[in-house]
Amino acid sequence: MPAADVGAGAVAPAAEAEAPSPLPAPAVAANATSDASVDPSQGSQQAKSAPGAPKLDPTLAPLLIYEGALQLDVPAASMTESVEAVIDAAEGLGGFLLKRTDSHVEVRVPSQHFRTAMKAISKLGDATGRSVTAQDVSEEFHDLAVRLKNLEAVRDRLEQFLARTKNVQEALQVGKELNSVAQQIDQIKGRMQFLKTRAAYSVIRVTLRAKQSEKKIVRGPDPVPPASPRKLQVDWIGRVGIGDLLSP
Amino acid sequence: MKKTLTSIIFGALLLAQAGCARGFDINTPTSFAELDGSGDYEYRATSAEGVVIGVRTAENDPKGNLEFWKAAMGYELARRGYSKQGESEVKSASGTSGVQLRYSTKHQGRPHVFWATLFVTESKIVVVEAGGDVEHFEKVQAQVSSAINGIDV
Repeated sequence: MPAADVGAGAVAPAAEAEAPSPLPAPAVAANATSDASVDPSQGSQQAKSAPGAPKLDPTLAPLLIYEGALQLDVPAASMTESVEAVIDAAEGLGGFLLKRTDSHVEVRVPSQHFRTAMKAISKLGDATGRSVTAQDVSEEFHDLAVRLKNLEAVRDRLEQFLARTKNVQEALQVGKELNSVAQQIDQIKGRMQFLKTRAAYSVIRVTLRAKQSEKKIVRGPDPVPPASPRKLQVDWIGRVGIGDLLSP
Repeated sequence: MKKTLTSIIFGALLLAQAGCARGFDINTPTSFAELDGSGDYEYRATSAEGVVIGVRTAENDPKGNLEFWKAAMGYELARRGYSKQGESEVKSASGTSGVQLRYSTKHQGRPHVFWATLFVTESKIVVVEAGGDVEHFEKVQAQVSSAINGIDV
């Protein structure tokens, strides 16, 4: 059973589609509506794009980070070309190179093209190993969105307090609190952006191995045995020699 | 007088009979002494330093010519590790063609010379063997060659 199928089938219904949903959009939409940098609308495509399919609760759509690994046997003479071909395949699907060596290459591809990329790269050699993992970060993303909403509410209240302060001492104290909340908001937004990016682009790691050239065993004629040391059946001839001659 | 002449003729006949019984006639080199009780050999003589000439005869069976027996002898000696140094045609005193195969070999850790000279007739094979320590053989080599060339088969 291909590992890609295992990975896709094991994680969520969304993974079976060509375009796995990078974001649990409804969850974000419901909880982080005030920040434009977290685009909640992207993730709802999967739920929308299946006409005729049973309607899913959009709040259940997972946020998945896909990682794939492939082992390919390629002709020893074309290792470099194969590495280039992997990069070309990724870039052709909107991906990009992460790192490469002579026999290893890592690329990122848009998650909606993850399976297409895996299939395309598999065809560049003899695939001897294949694995897909999907990390579900929906819960973390949801928690961050809730915390973000709460902190933004706190920030709003602190701003109102700040406007109503009557002396410098109060203003400094509220300003300090406001600053701390703003820092937390920035950290949460950063983490959410990171998860969103990771979910939007999947990593594919490809290890290339020089294919062992097949040695054809050509069976030739049976080897000729060495000449038989069989003696001529004449007794005396075996006694001719220095030993008998010099014997007392 | 008549009795003396009869004795001489009788003696000569006995000697001739003895020579015919051996099937060949060979002159022992002057520095060699003929050995008694020579086993397979019908004749054997040794120098003071242990170089030996020996003659054996055998029926030409299976019947083969000189080439056949030369090849058979060459194969046998090569199989036993003798190293061929050369070969040459020889003729017996009676004009029988033969071949001399010359080898080097080791005996008791010392390099030795070994010659095997073959004469083949319709009915018999005469093999004249000569050999000894290389150091001593060279000294009597001429006498050995002379004895072989003078053999009557």
